[in-house]
Amino acid sequence: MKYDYVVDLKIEKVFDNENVQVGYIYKIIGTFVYGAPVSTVEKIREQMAKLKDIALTDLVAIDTTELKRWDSLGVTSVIKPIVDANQQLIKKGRAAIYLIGDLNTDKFKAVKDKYPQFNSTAVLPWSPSVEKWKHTVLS
Amino acid sequence: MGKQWSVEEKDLTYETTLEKLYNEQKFQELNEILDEVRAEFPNNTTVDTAVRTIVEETMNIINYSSDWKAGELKVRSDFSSGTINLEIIYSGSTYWDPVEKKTTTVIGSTDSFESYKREVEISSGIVHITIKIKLRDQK
Repeated sequence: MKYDYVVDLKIEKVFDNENVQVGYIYKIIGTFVYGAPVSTVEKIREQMAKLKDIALTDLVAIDTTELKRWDSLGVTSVIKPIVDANQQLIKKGRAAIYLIGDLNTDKFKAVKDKYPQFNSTAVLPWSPSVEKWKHTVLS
Repeated sequence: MGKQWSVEEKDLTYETTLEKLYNEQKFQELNEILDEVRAEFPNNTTVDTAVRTIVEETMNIINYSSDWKAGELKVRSDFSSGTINLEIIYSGSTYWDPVEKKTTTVIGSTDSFESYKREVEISSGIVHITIKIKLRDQK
């Protein structure tokens, strides 16, 4: 059996009901585990490092629904920048970056294991779907 | 059918991006043998968690314990009719306990198991970590 350990990041624009762009969704796609190419990990970490500035003016969510699984390599690369950014965003009264995904999977548990102090708090908010996140942040 | 993976210190290089000893190919191979366990128990969060934890604990031993560097570090996986055996074996006289060091949670909830047994035995210069899981819902 052949397996692929490929991870990718796609950035999509988010529009409000009047079709005005209000932010971005960062989609983590594939499998983000030890075994991933270092060059890919570097590229994703570079993109994640920009979030703290982007989220000052735009709504941002990280979509994990197309992520097959991750371990502490993926979790650290993605979640640590979000936690750092959200701590600053909350202080400045800005909207926090949300994670989007199913809470009944090991993807969620991997985050809970690594960041038990922040999980499902204001610093690390989760929403089950893009639609529900948009409803929460745009209403 | 049981599978074994092994690694030696010479296989690994220090990756500054990850701040860890790493070898992309070796960790892909480790994930491949463990993915056969996941494939046998598809969409099972418990199995996903156990498999992820084995990789994370292996990574922790490689990076935080020097004992294993005297020889090989091996991971074995085997499964049959609802029972999974996962083992980490390396030369040494001390066990680097991730729970005690508070670096990771090794299987948080045991709710989904009929039984879950995690043992560490140190004998004749060999550290032997065994995780034996019997699933509640058999295939």
